[in-house]
Amino acid sequence: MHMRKERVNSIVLFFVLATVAIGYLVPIYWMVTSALKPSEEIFSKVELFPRKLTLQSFPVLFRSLPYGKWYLNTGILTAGYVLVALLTSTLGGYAFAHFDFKGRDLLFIVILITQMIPFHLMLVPLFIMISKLRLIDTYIGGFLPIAVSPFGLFYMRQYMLGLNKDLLDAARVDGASEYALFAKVVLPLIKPGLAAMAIFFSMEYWNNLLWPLVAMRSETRFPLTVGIASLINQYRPRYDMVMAASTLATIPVIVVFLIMQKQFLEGLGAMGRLVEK
Amino acid sequence: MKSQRLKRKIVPFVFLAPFLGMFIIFRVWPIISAFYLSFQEVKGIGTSKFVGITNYVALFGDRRFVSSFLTTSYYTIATLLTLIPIPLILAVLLFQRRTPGKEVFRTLIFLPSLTSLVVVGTVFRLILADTGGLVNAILGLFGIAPLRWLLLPELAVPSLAILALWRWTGMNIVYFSSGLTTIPPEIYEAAKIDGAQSLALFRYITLPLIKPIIVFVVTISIIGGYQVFVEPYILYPGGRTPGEAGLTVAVYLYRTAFRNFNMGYAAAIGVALAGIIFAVSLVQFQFSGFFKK
Amino acid sequence: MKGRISLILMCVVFLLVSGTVYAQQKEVKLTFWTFVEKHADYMQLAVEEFNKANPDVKLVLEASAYPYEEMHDKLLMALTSGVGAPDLVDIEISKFGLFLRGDIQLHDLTDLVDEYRDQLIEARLQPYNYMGKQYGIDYHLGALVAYYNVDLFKAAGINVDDIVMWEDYIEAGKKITQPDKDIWMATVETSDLWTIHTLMEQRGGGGYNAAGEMILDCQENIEALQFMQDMVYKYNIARVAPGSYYHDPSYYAFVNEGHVASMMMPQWYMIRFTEFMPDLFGKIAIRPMPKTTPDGKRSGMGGGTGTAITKQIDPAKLEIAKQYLGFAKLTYEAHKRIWTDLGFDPFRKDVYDDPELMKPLPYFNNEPVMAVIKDLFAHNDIKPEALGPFYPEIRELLRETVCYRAIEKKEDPATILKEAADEIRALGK
Repeated sequence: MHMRKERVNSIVLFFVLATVAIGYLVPIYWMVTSALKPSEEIFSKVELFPRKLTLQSFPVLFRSLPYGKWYLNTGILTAGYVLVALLTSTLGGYAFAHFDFKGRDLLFIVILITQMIPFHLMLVPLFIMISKLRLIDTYIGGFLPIAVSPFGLFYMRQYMLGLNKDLLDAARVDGASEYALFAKVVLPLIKPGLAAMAIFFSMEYWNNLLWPLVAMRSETRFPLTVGIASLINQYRPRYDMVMAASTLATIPVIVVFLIMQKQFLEGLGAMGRLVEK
Repeated sequence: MKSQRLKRKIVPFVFLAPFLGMFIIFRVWPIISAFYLSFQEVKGIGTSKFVGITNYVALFGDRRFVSSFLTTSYYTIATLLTLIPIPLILAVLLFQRRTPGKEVFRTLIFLPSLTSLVVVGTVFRLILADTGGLVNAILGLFGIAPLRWLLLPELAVPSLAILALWRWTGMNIVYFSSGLTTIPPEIYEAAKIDGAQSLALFRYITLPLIKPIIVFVVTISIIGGYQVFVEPYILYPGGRTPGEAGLTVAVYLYRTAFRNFNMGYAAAIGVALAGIIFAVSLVQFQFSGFFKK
Repeated sequence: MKGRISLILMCVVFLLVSGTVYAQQKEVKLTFWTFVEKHADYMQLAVEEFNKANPDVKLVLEASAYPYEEMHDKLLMALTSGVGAPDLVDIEISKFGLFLRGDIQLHDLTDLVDEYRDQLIEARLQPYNYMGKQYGIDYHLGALVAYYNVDLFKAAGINVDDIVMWEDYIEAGKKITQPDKDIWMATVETSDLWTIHTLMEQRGGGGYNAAGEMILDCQENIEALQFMQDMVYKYNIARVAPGSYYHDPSYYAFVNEGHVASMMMPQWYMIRFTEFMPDLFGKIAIRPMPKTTPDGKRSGMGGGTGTAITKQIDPAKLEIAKQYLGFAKLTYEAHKRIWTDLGFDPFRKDVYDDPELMKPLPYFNNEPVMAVIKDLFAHNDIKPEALGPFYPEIRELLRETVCYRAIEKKEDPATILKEAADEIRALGK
């Protein structure tokens, strides 16, 4: 009797979860099928399995827009962002975690508090600064000003607090310089943390529309986010093209994720655990 | 000897320098500059005048600011009400040993979190369209009249909330799951031996033990909620806001700065937004006992 | 000694000659921003023609098309920060006012326009004229016309030419509208201003009057808004447009499927039909708008984009930029191209006699559409649109709150417009 109840429970659970999961997939499915529908039918027919399928939206996309460039730009900007953010956060986090200096804790809290300040507050002054430095519409201007991450600092500091102090002290006694110590001992130990942060920063930049929107002017310099956003306006209402652009921007990320699932989820999960501390 | 000690003293600052340097240039200075701007009135290109707290006083009487503040608040509350309980329950369900296919489900539900917010916006414009939209078609199956999702300000928060629920559930499940892993299974065993049922287990063991992660998620939800920009910007693109639907504080700030060219006032909005976020977060911390630690 | 001198002399001569040849063939690069791809194409074509007509110069145009809002935002930022603005730029009429505040960063083009003034329709220069100086040059006249679906009219047994007064229109509407089949005489916008704009302008209302006074809550506007509301709730001949504005893809689909019998829009909306509504080929007739009074105007103006030269242009290039601009936008040939290439109504009077403009268009009921426009300005039927300092804010209010409140909230038009006007007056303080 008890066994059957367990069984029924499992089956019910399965169906509930399956429904939810399918529900979550529907928008993605919708995006892909809309990309394959003829332009006029996107708003006129609501079909689960569209009858007329066409690939025309894709060549139109590439013909009328520098879509390939957008991809490239996204890669370059994200890489730059991740590198700088990782570098500054790791080095800084190490300083806060393992050294004692005057005003350390106060400084740390002040930095953390700025994380809560909305970016919009700094938008205009940042833009004026970057304009005057002639960095508008350049790759550096697209990622450098926003690559300082108090959250990243927080994470790396927490992570490195967990490092075995004795190991480090032993190396110090052996006469290693602090810099060598960092490079040769600390870095290898924090690889998982670096990976997690790299993923986090990538996702952060991927979701950032506001700064690239303001910083990148030429269509050929847009990252995918700004490019796709530019497709929604009254002078370009070709929705099949928008969906094609969206599909091509989403599918590769999903594929990469599916391959690297384990590392991905572990990295994000690690962040949760750290908060416990 | 002295140089050695000096060297050792400098070391932390060397490590700190990159971060601190960037921080001062790209955070501190713009914040100060924004404060300075908020006390100015900028009337045209290149003309600014010091006006004290006029901008801040104007905020209170500004119809649009007040309505955008309300909209943003409702949105944040809506996301808290849906994006905490639902992912939490799903996380617990996916955590059970007996749940079949849980790995697959977790992955599938997480996929939306990989999509760019811009893509989410464009797809939902399609899904929430009043004619030819999927949601209305589904409602039609149940005999419900089509709703004009994106055409009525009253439906703005629900539209944005639906979008948020789709997009962020997966992420929150990941956070909550990681919190669940910190609970030693022995506690559950012990409680089960004492005869506790699933619901009680959840209420008296799970919840209290994952409180820190819940507080964390609530905090980032509040901060994120009040700053929401991309989703309303795409769902209600420039000028496409009947009755000022979907006007959040962040979008209003952007428009004030770049459309109406009122830099001083926009800066004041920014400061006000920061203040609101601080205040709400402080209340939240107090409420959840963060300061007791 | 002598040989070396002559060698040096030859080099100098060579340098001088090549220098002047090079100077003759000097390449001048101009940057141009717009928010309509077709404008960019048009300007490029004008460059080719310009270079052919002026062999001693090689003009190169670097044109970029950006999304509407983004382009204006970036332009504003660039002109504020003093860096990064293009040499030439398209500024839409609703946004033009923003650039006429404070220290104006656009060059005065009055002397350029004066060269062509006698042939131009003066009314079209008005919007971009501030304090007597001309800052922008438009692409088209933007005359307001009525677009009728002849099939729907025929099915109800009505001839489009019988619509002379708005009363005729309402009567026809009642016969044509079939709510159960989702067929309507008209639609109204709740997130854009064309529906209300056409009605206001024709009646003599609008944002500002010719004397520069802000007239948002004038009687004419109230009547226009009331009529818009009545079309939906009193006469039951209109519904809210799908997508809430006339440029939404779902609206195009709706019209394309034959659900809407009429629309009042500027002439430039023609290309929306040809581009997005293929099923209506041959079924759309263009006529003047119905009249409110027997001697009332049948048309007004709507929309527009002024091309301007920014003060960030290299002063050495200013002269040639002006020449190019005149060539591209003010000559007879240019205006002919405005029709043939862009499909817009030109604002030069003499061009309308050109056979090219009098050709019948198969899509539009096989009639010469430009004949309607010519008729309108020949009879002085087009009300010029006046702009003012807060024109952009007025447009914003019309788009976002006024129509919404009138249609969705069913509020009293007089109240709505008074509150809107008060908001604008508060800005002026």
